[in-house]
Amino acid sequence: MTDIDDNLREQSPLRKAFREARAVLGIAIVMGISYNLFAATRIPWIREARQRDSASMAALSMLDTNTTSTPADMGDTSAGGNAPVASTNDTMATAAPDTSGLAALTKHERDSVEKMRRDSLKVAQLDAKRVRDSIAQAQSAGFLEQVASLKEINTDIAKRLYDMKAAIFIDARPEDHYIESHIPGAMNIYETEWQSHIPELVKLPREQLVVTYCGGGDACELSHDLADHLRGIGFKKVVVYTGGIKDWTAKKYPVGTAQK
Amino acid sequence: MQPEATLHEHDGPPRAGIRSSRLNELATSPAMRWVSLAVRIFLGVFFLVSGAEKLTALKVFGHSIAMYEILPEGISNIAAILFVWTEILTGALLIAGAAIRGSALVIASMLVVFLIAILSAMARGMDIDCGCFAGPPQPVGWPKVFEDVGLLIAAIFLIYFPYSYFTIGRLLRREAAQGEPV
Repeated sequence: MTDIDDNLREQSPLRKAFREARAVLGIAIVMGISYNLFAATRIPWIREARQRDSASMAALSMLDTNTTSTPADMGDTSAGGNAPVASTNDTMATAAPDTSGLAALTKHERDSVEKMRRDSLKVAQLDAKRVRDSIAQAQSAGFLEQVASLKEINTDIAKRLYDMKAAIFIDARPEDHYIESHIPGAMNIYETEWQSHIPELVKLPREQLVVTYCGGGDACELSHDLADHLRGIGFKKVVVYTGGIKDWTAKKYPVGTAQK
Repeated sequence: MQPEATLHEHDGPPRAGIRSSRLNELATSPAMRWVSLAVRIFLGVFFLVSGAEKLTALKVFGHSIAMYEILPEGISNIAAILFVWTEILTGALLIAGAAIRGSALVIASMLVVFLIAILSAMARGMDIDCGCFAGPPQPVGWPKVFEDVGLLIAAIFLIYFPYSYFTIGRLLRREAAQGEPV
């Protein structure tokens, strides 16, 4: 009787399934451990949470408040407080001669004064443009220097670098993710395969500002790991855009797609 | 010498016990064997491919698990390794037709875990990659829930209807007894 009961229990589908499942799980665990001990593409057993660099973040905040304008609108910096300079209209008003007494002059004299006024305006406009350009250049250089001193940047700064075309963006995600969406112009170097891209990387100047990014969020390690690799092979200015493609697309900034 | 029931597992009903039950009759009918074969191969290929793909991007899968914020971030890589190898092994076993019930139960358990994770992420309003495949990101949402429920039904089906053609056991037995149909 006992034998028959045991036999019946043994034939229960779930009981048999549990017995087999234990064996399957055991083998899977052994295979997983063995693979991650010996495979070339093994990953760390324990995932270390990245600590935010508080000094970088403080600097980042300063950059946010002081340098949020783009080079295109740097001409009007009097409100920004960095380097006050007269706006184009102010400059022109100062440079243009006073023409309030023109009515008392002859036609020829009026034409001469008008011509002088136009010439003065042209010179003033050229001067203002030169001043704006030099300020923008100085500010861009300062901005890039400040960015290069950081380890992480946020979306505003990444967008500004993108607009300025002042940095090389590298997408550290796998190719499939890159194909789906990426920051336009970004290279794709999947972090775990970065060594196969060394021939491309050695062609880049080591002084070049490089921005790495991945999916975004605190758990995204690929961009940090790739940045470490790049620093390891001599790149001096490598920053991680921590917002990644997630924040970039959330702000509806342009994204590119690619084909295999 | 192994008992008959163990030797012939997945090839037919056990010789004793609930042999005469309707469930077993249905499970061993030729039509149901073909259905079981189709479900087994589909589920096996699905999990084998899914696991093999993720194996090439383990770090990304670990990141996907961490993004759910259910497990402590530190152990998300360990979870990734175990999930991936469990998927590969169960997929391969299903295709081979060995330990079908056990593999189906493990797959069903994983799918329940995935379902809980996806529903929990949806309830928390998280817009994250589900991490289901190594390909392009697929957001968590109802389509993924329905997909997992479909796979779960298939896995549960295999627990109760594991008998099918072209199992490794049948092939080995044919070697032993020439002429027996596979």
